Amino acid sequence: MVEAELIKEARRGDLDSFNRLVLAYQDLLYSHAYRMMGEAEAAEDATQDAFISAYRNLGSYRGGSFKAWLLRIVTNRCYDELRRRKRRPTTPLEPLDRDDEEIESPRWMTDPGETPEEAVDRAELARALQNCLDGLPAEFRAVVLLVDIQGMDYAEAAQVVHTPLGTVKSRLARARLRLRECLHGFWELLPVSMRLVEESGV
Amino acid sequence: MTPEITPRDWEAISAYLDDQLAPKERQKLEARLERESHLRRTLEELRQMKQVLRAQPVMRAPRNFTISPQMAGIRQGARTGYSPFPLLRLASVLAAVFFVLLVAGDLVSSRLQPASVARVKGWEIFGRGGGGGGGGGEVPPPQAVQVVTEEVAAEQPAATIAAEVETVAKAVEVTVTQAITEGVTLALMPTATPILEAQTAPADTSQALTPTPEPTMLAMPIEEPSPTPELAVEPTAPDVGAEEKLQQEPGEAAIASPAPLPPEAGALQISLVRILQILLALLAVGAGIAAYLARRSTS
Repeated sequence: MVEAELIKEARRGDLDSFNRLVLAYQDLLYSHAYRMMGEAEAAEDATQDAFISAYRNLGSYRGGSFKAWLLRIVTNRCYDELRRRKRRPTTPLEPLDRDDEEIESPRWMTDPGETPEEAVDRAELARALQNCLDGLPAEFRAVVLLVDIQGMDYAEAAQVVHTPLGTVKSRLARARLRLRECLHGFWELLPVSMRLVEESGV
Repeated sequence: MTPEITPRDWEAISAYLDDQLAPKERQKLEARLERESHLRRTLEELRQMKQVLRAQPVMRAPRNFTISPQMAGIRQGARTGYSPFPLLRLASVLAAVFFVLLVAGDLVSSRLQPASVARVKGWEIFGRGGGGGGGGGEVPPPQAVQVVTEEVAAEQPAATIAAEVETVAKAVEVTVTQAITEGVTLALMPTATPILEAQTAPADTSQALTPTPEPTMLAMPIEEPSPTPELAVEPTAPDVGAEEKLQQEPGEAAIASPAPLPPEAGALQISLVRILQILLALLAVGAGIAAYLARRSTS
């Protein structure tokens, strides 16, 4: 069943059709929520809340990119939670290893096509990137995730974050500048090609 | 020494990488890229960083986020697309409209009528409580109707429009009362009024007071008649009242005796209007708040 048909049936109240859409988009939404929140439990809550809200508000979906519509809902949920945490800071819920480093969920780390060393390198790079993303303001982080990770264009990203296209352009440039400065601290984790660019620039 | 990249240049390079530069700006930047090597390095660095980000895998959800019927029911309370917000908003608006009409009618009637007439004639027309809408006819005693007729005639033609406004407001008031007691949707159309009917055929009071199918209302004197001659209510009214009772539809309340009531009863009837006003105001505010909360919970 194509997406448009599923959406149509879901709007009529067919929960099964909506759940098929959930299965199709849950990885995408969870990824986005995880990178916005920086932790698994908060990402799960945001994702679940987003799908429930999406089902409840299917009447407000007016066509266009369903992916962008869902991402908008989950982004707003993440904004709300981040603002709430800013008012009432909480301690991290992730378990700590022997070095007092947070142990992240390894589910996304499994890739049957790579060696263990590659997997470790990839995991460490991902952790480094997440650290740098966590250092960005929420609004900057959202546009970087939407454009550079989700692959959206500026117009679609503007629709998700509900800001003008010029604002997306400006925020993205500033976010990338901060990421660049942050990633210099994880220089050895960067791919060789990026390191070569750095060396030639010195 | 590597020249610093200005924020403006950085933004231009970032937009250029995403093919989001205007044609004119794109040409300028490409010309500079050919001349300035540090700009080229920055562009390449940005391109690599974007590739690293783009290569990040989509994370697999740790569990299924499908929604159970219970979850949908608990979280939303209704099926897709349903929101109580429109209904609550309509209820709030209607309550506010009727409240305004009631207050306006009350103000108009109190301003237009001389105080003495208002006291004696203070017939409150209200619907029978708990009824299914099957009320009696309009049954003000003929003497009071005659008094009204005389007063209206004395003030004509200037007060004609005001009297009509008053009667319309009272008709709306009756309709509001009926709807509240019956628990049905309020009708907006004013209905014929008994006073107008009585005025058109004062000679034949029994016919003028014949009950009409709608609205269902009873007229009850609310105060003792004034001793002034033009406002006197003669004691023969009970006979007419008895005739009217026979003409009423079955199940309707008995026609009020035109015998003067104690002042407390009149005050009680007047306060019923106030109670209605308060109730409508509370309904308007309450429905408005509920609509706001419903809207907020769905956003």
